[in-house]
Amino acid sequence: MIVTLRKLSYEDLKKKLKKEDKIVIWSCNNCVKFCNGLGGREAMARLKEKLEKDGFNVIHTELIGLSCVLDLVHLRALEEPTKTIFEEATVIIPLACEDGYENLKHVFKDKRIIDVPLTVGLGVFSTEFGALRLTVPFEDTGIEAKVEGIPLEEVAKKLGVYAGPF
Amino acid sequence: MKKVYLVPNRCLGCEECIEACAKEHGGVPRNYVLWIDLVYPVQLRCSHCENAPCMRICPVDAIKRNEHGAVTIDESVCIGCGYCALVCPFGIPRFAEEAKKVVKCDMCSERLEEGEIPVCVRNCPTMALQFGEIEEFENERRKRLAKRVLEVGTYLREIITLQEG
Repeated sequence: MIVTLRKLSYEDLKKKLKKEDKIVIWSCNNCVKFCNGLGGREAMARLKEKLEKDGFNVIHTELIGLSCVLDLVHLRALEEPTKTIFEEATVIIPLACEDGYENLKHVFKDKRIIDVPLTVGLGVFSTEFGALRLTVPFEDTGIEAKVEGIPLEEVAKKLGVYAGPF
Repeated sequence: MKKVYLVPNRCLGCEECIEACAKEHGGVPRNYVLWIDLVYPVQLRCSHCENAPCMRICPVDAIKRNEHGAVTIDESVCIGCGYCALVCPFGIPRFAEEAKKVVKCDMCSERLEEGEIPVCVRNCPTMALQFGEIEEFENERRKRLAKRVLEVGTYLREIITLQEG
């Protein structure tokens, strides 16, 4: 599955939001869930709680199977009950890979989509390590591929970004 | 009778079926995804059994089979005793806290009436969920197997011909 890290720390994320924003937290429930828990139900709930504590207005959390399937993203914009919610929203925080981020930008053209994800390659979930490891890094990361995989914290450190949930 | 079938090796465990079901049915989903050994997802849903134990045990006859063959609960009659959940071999009926009733998959009967397919099947991104007759589903499987048998047969024939000179 795809390995995604995040470009922003929680403090960076807050700087990109306004108090009057109507925020939707969006997450896939597949690859990102395995990327040290960057996405998924729990990550969304935790981020919602943190943002609300800091006085931001989170109006909805939306879980989608795969954001890389454009049709599924479209359905959220076209069908109730999500249609009304997304019409109201001003900003979407995507906990997805870069493909999901691009799909969100394509579908919700009038919304601010926060540029959170950094997709770095393909990984394998290992029951031995109990975590996802990067096995096939993208060329532009400059990281060498390893059969046994590289822990995501190590990749994040090398690239100067963050792994795991906000 | 058409039913929803799962092709297990296609399921990613993304739970889009659960999300779609919850949206279609006012927030309470009627299907499940269970993870075995952290890496194997298994989607479970009502099988609308021919000899449905839930239907037989319901003390107030709230569970009936409709014209689409779906075993459905009449929520206005259900008393929320949970006996259907107790006897279901798949553990599908779910107690809806707010309504104090038991809910279960109705195979999206309203959608079927409009000529649509169940929402879990429509939203499944990998087509792991299929809607059709069991014979249709099994026939596809037999066709796939037949192709493999043919391939193996061709391969074996080549070896045998070689051995026999």
